[in-house]
Amino acid sequence: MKNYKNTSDTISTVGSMLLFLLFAVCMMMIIAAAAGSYSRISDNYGTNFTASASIRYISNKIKSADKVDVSQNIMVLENGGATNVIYYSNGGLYEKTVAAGTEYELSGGDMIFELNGMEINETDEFYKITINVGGETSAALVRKGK
Amino acid sequence: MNKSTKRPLNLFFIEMIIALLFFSISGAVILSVFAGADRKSRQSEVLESVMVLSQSIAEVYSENGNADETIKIVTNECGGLNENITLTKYEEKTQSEAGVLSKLTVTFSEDKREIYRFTCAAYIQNGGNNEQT
Repeated sequence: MKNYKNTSDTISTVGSMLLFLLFAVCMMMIIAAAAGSYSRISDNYGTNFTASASIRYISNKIKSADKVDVSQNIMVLENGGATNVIYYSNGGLYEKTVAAGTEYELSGGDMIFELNGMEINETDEFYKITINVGGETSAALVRKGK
Repeated sequence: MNKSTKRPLNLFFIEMIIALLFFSISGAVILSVFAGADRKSRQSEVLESVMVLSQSIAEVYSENGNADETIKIVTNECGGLNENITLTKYEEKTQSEAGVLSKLTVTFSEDKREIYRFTCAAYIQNGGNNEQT
């Protein structure tokens, strides 16, 4: 009798422990799934936001500028007495503001966005802005003139 | 003898089963929430790309006032749409002595569900000879 009681208790304890182990494994799996899901959502959000915000930033700069010059992926925008230079360098979109007519170098600008690439092409009627963020490429057209 | 063969109810065992049931239900709810968040993220990604495309369509249409030409230019320059996304356009032209006012309404749908719609317009002087206004 005593042995039977002991065996029963042992089975019950082992069963409880196995259930707890199952619970712990399930929780670990859920946490791993949550971490993966959050990471994917966060990356997608960052990529989308950077791509669309940088395109809109450049578009708005073009629209608000008095004069726009584009050459070799460098955009020079003249606004009253200031010249804004927007360029891509070292994995970032940079902007530098100098007084109109001043010589400038493509260094020391303020980083606006972190990008993997940027191209600005000019056609007869449009500027084409191509942005590469995290391997994803987004392009937009902006008409010339105001 | 009969009394002695009855297995005693282990309260800890029952409590563990109830706890597991509760956490299983919680896990199922959490997983469905994750799936929903993932779906929302993907919809947001699609919407963002559609809005960038819409911006280009509006820019080009304001230049030429021709819906077919606009879609062709934007598709060529900015890349095509995702396979699941369909684009429908409705163009309306109002003729006057001074020129033509063209209105373009573009609707983007995913699996027959509308996700974004916008209207843009172009005013072409002298009956649509593509002079910029």
